[in-house]
Amino acid sequence: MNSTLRIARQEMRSAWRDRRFLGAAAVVLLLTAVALLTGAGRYRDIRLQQQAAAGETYAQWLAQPAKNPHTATHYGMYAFRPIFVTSLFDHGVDSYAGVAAFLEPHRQNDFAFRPAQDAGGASRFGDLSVAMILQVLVPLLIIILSFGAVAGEREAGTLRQLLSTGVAARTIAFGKLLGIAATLALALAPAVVAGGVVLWMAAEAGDFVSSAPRLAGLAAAYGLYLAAWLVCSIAVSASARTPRLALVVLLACWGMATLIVPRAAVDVARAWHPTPTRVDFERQVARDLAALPDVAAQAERQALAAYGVRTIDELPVSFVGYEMMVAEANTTALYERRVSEVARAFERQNEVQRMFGVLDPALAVRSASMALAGTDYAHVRHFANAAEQYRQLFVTLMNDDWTRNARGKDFAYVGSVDLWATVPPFEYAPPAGAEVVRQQASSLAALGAWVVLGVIGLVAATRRLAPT
Amino acid sequence: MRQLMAVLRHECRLLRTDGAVILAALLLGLAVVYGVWNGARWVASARQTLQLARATEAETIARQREEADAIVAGRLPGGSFSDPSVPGVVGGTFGGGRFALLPPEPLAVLSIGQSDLRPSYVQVSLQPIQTVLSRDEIENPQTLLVGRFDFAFVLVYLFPLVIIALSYQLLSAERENGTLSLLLSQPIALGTLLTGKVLARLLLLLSVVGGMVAIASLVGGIDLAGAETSARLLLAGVVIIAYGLFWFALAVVINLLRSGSAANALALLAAWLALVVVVPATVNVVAARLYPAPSRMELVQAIRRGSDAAEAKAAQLLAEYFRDHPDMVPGGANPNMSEFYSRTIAVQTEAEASAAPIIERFATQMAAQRRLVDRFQYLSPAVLTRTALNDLAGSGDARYQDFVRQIEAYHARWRDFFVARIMRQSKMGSADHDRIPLFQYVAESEASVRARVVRSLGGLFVPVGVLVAVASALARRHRLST
Repeated sequence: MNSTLRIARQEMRSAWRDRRFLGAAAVVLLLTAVALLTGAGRYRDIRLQQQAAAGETYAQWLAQPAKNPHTATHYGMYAFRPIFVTSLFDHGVDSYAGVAAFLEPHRQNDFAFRPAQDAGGASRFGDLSVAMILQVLVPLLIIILSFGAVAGEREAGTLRQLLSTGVAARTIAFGKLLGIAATLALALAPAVVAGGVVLWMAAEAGDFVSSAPRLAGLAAAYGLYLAAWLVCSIAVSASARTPRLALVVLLACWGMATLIVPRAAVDVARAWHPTPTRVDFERQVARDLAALPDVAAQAERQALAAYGVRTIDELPVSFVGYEMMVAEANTTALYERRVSEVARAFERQNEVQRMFGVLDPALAVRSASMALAGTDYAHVRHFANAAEQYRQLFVTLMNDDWTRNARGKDFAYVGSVDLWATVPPFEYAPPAGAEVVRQQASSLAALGAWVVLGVIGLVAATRRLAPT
Repeated sequence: MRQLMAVLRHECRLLRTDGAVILAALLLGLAVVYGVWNGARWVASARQTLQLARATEAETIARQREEADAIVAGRLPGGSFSDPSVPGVVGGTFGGGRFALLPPEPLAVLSIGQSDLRPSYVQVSLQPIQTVLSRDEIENPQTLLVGRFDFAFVLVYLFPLVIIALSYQLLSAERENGTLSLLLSQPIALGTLLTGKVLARLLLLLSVVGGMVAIASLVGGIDLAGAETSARLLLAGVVIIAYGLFWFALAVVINLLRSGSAANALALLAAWLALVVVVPATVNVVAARLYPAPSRMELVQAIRRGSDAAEAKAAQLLAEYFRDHPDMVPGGANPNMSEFYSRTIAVQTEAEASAAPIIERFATQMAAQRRLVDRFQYLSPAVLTRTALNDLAGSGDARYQDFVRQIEAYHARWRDFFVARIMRQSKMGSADHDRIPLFQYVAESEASVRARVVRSLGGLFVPVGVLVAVASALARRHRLST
């Protein structure tokens, strides 16, 4: 144990003397500062815009003059997608999902206006974020630190010296591992502290506490991810004949993991789970709508049965309103079916990408990170679902009022201005952090498996290092 | 010149026998083939989608013409919400209308670019232009986030890596083997030697890329014939060469700085990481902070405020109700049917008029923001290369902006045509249907495409020039060290 610590200390000392490492670490810290500041500014802007727009759309709803309640539903409301404070670490799909949907009767609209559409082509190179730094740049820092850890000693001939003094090969390897891990932890500590401070300053009261499980999950995911890189890098360094070979292998792995495999995974996912185009979708919906049964007859049947009367004239409610409710139920179900078909295909595509996480830890950590930051497709979908529920709620409330009170008046019925306030404002509760952590267990497990694999590889490599 | 040819021949011979070089070239070739194939699949599915849009539209038009004649002649009852003899119905007061299509260009296979983010078919109707333009293609946001494995990706990301692999030890290897002093004791300038080495590698990579693109196009059935396509293909070649030269020039400069091969490789990889990954990503977030795009959420609300004001003026309960429910208008052939469309259009026109300054301001802000952010692309040759390829492939921003302008013009023509008829409350027979304005996509002039590409090329060649100047200065001062 003592010699492990001695080797670790030695490794740290030489790392801090390495100008290459110091330079790279300084750049990473600088970029982290930029990412945190821009991320916090972006979060604040979008949050204010979203809150203002959401507040105004509800105020407009309340300010409607007296009118037919169903006409009021046609006036409708907008749903504006909110932003999570944790998104300042990982922008995820934020820029690639629509921000606003019009909530109206008879149909379920998509969220329109993807922010990326308003940005130029350069935006497709990705946004600098803490997540990008941790997923893409820090592994390179690890590679710089560790490619020569063992292979360098071997090339310099110092490895044989060390082994001949009776230090076990495993002790050397794990000493190096410990030393590099400590170096990295020290180098990244300012970034972690800064991240915490920025988050605390940006978060609204309560947000900070409620995002605790998410933050813990993020810490675990990135901890495992970086540990996997570290262990595997040292294992490669211990197996390679020369440090140069170790470097080439590690850089090739890095390129595969961050550049090639994610795009290949997208291609595979799209091929396995194709989604309809907009034209397909609209054609299908048009066909579905045409195939709906005659609403008047259906409504008559249901109304007579529900109220136990024999003719429409005997109904205690407005039949036109009742018919509207039946029609609304039909179209709601129809859209729900078609929209959720597409959503399921997207989810399956993302599932395929997650499966590739077994091959590629960068993919696994990306899935986990976006989910925990609240910026993955599942969160987009969760909000869209909530908006759809809210749409159904206010349409039902209005149609119901009309049906109950408009007997004999039908279209001529006018709802009072007090009626609008019976619709509560749209309160959105994001998925609980603990639940998201639980859902990401498979990604975390994949990352853990990579760590284990690396340890096994490292142990196997140290066996071959025995002095000869 | 003779010396250069000798170096070139010699280097070619060396490269041919180097296993690592062959492996790198092979991998690059495979990536190019896969990228082009992926692009070809993308274009094929885009074409299919446009075909389907056209077919769907043709069905609707045929049905509407027939029905309209029957209704005008009194053979069918009219007055329903889908009555195609009513201009408000055909014009698509509540949706429908006709497609404006953006066809893929011949070189679209080279770069998917922004075409996965922006729909290439837009249904133009009497609805406000903002609504018309808000319908996106259905696509998984996570797919959009990652981006696609197309030729542009291979070129922008992987091509420089192969160049680095082939040239990080351009001089350092000779120096380390002790052959450099031997070589330079011959009557040959260092500059000539370096030029020959770079040329040999550039020719090798160009033949791999060019050959693979050609093969993939032949297999994929991509039509690259036509004078304009050839000209663009030529320009694409120049872009590839310029981007390649940038990386070679950088490698030469770094080699002349006399470090070991390993240090050269790391320095070049750091440059790649900076220019291809870090700078674009940093510029994206910093530019977005310095020049934030106007908020879409704010725009949605601003337009709504405008239409509320219009609505308040025109509020008439029953009319409003009928606007929402044309199907509920009592009676089969209702004389008020046409009247209510004219009222709707009146309200809509008023609403659009009051929202127009807001939309105008938004568009101006957006354009200014784009101009500012676009300047930042000159910071990275990778971004410039991608922009140039997108422009040549027809999947870039400028072409889409042009498409949007054409849609706006078409929307205006469409409205003029229908609003006049709606206000007159005239009936439309099949003859009138045939007079409906058609969207005719007018391709951008080749000159303006070329001008854009040349601008990007300028941005690429300036750093190349600087690097070459630095390299020749270094080469002149290069003394054989012991």
